Amino acid sequence: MMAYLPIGIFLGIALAIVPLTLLIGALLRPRRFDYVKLQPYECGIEMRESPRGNVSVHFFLVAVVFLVFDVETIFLFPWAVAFDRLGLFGVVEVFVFLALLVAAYLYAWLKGALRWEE
Amino acid sequence: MGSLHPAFWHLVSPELVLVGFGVLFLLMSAVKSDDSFKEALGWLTALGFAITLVLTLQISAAVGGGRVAALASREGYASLVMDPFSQLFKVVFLVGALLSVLMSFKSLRVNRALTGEYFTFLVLAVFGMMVMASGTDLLTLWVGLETMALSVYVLAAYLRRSAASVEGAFKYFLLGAVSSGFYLYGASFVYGATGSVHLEAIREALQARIAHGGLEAVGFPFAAGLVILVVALLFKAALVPFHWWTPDAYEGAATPVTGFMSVAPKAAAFAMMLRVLLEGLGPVAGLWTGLLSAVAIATMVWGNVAAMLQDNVKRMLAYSSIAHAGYALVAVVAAGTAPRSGGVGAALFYMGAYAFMNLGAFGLVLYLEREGCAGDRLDHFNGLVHRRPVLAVCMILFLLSLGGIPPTAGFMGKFLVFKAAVDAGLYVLAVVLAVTSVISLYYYYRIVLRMFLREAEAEEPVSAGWPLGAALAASVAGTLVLGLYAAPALEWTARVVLGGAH
Repeated sequence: MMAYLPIGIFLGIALAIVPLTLLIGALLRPRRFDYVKLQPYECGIEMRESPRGNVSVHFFLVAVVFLVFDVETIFLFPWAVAFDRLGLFGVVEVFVFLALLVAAYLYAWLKGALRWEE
Repeated sequence: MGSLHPAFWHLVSPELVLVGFGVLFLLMSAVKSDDSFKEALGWLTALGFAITLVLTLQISAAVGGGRVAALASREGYASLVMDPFSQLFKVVFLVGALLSVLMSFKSLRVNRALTGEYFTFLVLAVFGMMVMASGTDLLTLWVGLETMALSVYVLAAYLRRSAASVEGAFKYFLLGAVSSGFYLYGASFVYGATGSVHLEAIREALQARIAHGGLEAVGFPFAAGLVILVVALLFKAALVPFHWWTPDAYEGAATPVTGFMSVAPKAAAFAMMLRVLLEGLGPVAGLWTGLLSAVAIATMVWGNVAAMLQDNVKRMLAYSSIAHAGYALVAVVAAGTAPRSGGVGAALFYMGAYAFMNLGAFGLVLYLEREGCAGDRLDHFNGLVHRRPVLAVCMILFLLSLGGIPPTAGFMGKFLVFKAAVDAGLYVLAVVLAVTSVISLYYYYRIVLRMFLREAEAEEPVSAGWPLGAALAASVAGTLVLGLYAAPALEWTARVVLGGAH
């Protein structure tokens, strides 16, 4: 059990830090609210319209296609690091993986996920 | 990097065929999109499942009663094995999937939801299940579990214009994602406590520790990990108190998907549960049998009582499927308590029998489905015996089987589970099983009563294409054969051993 003591202390500090800082802030800061202060914060630019609007579904599609490549690089990194020890099987495995990802990408492409103007 | 079996590619050929078909369907459905083409994709899916089934049986014959590790770690601990247990479960998944494909055509056409992707996800879900049945390390199992779960989330939401379908799928997805997190969290504890993710290595580590200081020596972190891991598995098999997503997801999903979800993923969850609990955590069975006994009793009672209150047949069958998972869990507890009680074989047989009878019952709901009406109200069964006597007789057979009345598969399944429980000395569980089975007859007979005693309010068309008829005929045949001539199936399931028994 003693081996877990550092983790326990770490956990305690992690849990305490957020309430503690919030508490200190609440005790020290002056409370003077006005119209501008209660607006959503956006880099000092004045608010023009309600932030709750519709977003084009294309953003979502781009995010999904991005995910395909993101997952690809994340998996290629560990393979590249250990590739000399994985040998031929590792190469075959990575290429099977790449083929599956290319198939997914092709699907998105053929379905028109990359076509921006309709 | 581990070691491959010399015949690795042959051993995993069924899985490879499925992945190949899945990718092919995905690309094909992006290229062409007219209805006849999509229907052809459906037939190709059925063909793919049939080929996979043949390959699985062939490998099963080659493996015999033995255990071949297709993939193992450098220390020789298996990650993916072909043994009678995995092969028989794969047969259950494939038969369930094949029947579901045949049942899908009509429903998808009625709901205008026929797409090529539907079949892709069906194929990939079955691929995940096959990995779940064969996997023998916690991570391989997890990869299989996620492949299956992600595909089934999409399938559950397939009627995307129906709010109920999307709502049910969303609940399923959120709770499923949380339970996957639970699984990994529990697995990391088990890994931390035993030093391996391989079930065989976990088993050896546990045995060594128990030999030193008894059951207490496994330590608190391991016990906590075990409970967290078990919770994730209970969620996947929809057992009380982790069943809340089930009725909504089952009611909302398209009927063939509901049939598929209640049969194949459930069997896969049980395959994984049996494998993890008996093979890896078998030595500490004392830690989990009590917990699972309580869950089994709660599931049987809750599932059956809640099913009595439903007017919607799909929702009723959802609660009934919860109850049936409870019966199968009794077999799991029996296998954990006494390895020689035949609990594993009973659970396996039960899942096979359940596949036929439950898909048959959902097939009947599909028969009554028509445009703008899912055919799942109890009223839709009114006077069915006068309109379509053959269908009514089929429904009676499935309901008898679900209720556990001879001469049906359901009776044999329940008998085996009951026997395993008694052999393991679990008399309380056996009594609860028998009593709740009697309760279940009440709500199954509500349908039968309506078919005979009520007049149909309006002459509603009852129709389907021949694929649905064929699937229904196969379900009837399966239900009767497993009930009347169970000897060959029992011989197969008797060969199945897990963990300590070999």
